[in-house]
Amino acid sequence: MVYGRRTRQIRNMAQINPNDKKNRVNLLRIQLGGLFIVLQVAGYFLSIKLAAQLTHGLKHVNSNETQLIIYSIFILLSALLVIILALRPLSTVEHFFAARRGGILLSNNLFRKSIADKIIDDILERNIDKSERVPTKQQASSDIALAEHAFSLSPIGIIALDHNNKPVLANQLAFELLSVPDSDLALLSKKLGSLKYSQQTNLIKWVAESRAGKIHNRNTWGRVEAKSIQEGQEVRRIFDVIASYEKNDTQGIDTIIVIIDRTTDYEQENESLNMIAIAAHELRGPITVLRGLVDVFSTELGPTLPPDQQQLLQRMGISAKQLTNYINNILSIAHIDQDSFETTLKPEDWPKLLTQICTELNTLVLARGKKLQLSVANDLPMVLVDRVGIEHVISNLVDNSLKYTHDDGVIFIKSGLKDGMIETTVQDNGIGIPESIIGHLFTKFYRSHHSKKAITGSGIGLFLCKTIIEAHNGNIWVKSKEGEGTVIGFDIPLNQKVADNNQTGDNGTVNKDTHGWIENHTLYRR
Amino acid sequence: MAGLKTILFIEDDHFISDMYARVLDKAGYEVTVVSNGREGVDAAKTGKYDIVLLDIMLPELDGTQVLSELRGEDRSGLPNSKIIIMTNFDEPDEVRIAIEAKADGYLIKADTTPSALLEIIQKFD
Repeated sequence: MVYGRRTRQIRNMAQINPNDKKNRVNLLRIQLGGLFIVLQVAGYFLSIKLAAQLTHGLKHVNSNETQLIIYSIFILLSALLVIILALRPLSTVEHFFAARRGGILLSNNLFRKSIADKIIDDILERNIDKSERVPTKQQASSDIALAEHAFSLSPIGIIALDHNNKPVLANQLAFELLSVPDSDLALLSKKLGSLKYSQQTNLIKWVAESRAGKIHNRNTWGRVEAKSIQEGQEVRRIFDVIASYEKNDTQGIDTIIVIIDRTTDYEQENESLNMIAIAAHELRGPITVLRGLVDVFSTELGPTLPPDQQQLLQRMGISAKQLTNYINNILSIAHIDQDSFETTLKPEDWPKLLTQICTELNTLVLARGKKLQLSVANDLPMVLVDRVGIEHVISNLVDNSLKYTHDDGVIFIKSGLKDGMIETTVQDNGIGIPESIIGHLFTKFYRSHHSKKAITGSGIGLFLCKTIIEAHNGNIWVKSKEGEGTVIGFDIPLNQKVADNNQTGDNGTVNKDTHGWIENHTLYRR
Repeated sequence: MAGLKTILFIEDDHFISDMYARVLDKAGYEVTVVSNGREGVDAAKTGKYDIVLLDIMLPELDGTQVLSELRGEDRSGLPNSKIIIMTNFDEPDEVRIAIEAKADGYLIKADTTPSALLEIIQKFD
């Protein structure tokens, strides 16, 4: 505690309640403190001077009596000084100096504490209604009682684990949520470990990792599912699980796990997502016919039509395709939200795949009055990609570029080996993206309302791109300058680098490749 | 085209089946359309179709049931017919069922124009 603060507090209190005798005395002490110092110093000088004069004068005085008187005065003065020093005002002097210095007086802790206590009592007496006065030390045991009560009433399940992963404390709700009979801690532990943690690391692994090398650690798992049978019925609950680890050398509790029942929230969310999925499926029916018949007319009628009508037909086809793309985007996002979005990575010939994708996109780009330019080396190593996913990414990126490119503009797609990954960039020299939007570009459902040139669809398409690229263990980034253009780039791993975080290959019992399997559906996700 | 000539289309939406059938027909394939699952099973079991295009949302029996009946328990039924699911249904479960029941493909109609279907079938040969 800084004395400066104490002095200020005393001053403040004196100001608040100047009629309080104690405050006035304290304040007086502070104010007089300076004076006393002066007196002390003056006293010393005086006595020295006097002594000198006396000694000098004494040489001429032979009277013992006079000598006695002089010495007595000298002693008296000294005594007076001692008394002054010993008096309590010294504390005020110390106060004074300490206050001026603004530092901590390192002396007497008891002394300081007594001042502090007094001040606190003062505050308590003045400011708190007697009935609400914070009690003193008996509080300790009732604090524990209060904590226990809160623990048992808590609307979230709480489990505390010790060094051996044994739950040493668990509240009532924890047992209920995991459908474990009261106080069966062993079963609770087992249930806790066997929940469906959807991220790469489950609770057991995470705790082990924390113990192995961390001092603090924290993790949240969302959408953790738990199924149980209650009264013959299957009950499904969905939790958020939060674990907090703190290194504890005393072999006591080191991990606290909090379980929050989010069943209703997630079910409502699932309902919305199901609705989206159903709506999207319904839309696909009429789109199939529209798209298909445009295709039929293009084939049968197209060659007989004058060029301007051919172009109209072509635009119908392009628009129909874009419709399916947007619906596919929505469906993908619904799957992402339901945690059922995953990618199936396979080795692919990247230059061939990229060229194929760009050739298809070229029709769309040309129809919009712009050009697509692809530059990719022929001899790149094999990549590990989800074919359909990467198609969506490039398609969305080109779609995005089209929105920001001037007429007659060119979209450049470049791809090559960089730092052990394949880096691909989609660049345009269009109007660029405002700085205020760039940070949110890949955010789900983000829509900027600020300008007419606001990005539409980026909150879906680009968010999807980010999710897909990250599922490939790659990165996606953007660089843009208003008036100059935009580059969006991403990298994907080579086949020889198998990424641990991704699932590769089939989950079914059939090997699709040898079976001659054909597919174009957008969402084969496990 | 070599080999594959006959196609059975099990689809209850005439707009869709007419559209695809027209293009396949013009390319020289012999296309038969039935519009419910039960009829589909009966027709396919005769074994005279090289390719069976199978929708999932069907009256009587749905596509996965048809597939299951055609391939049978041991998945070895109708070895000479290629069965391709053609649907707008995009759920992972359905796809897995199709794989496990030994279908030969899973196409999304909204993403498959008649030309595209023709190309796929011609490559299948």
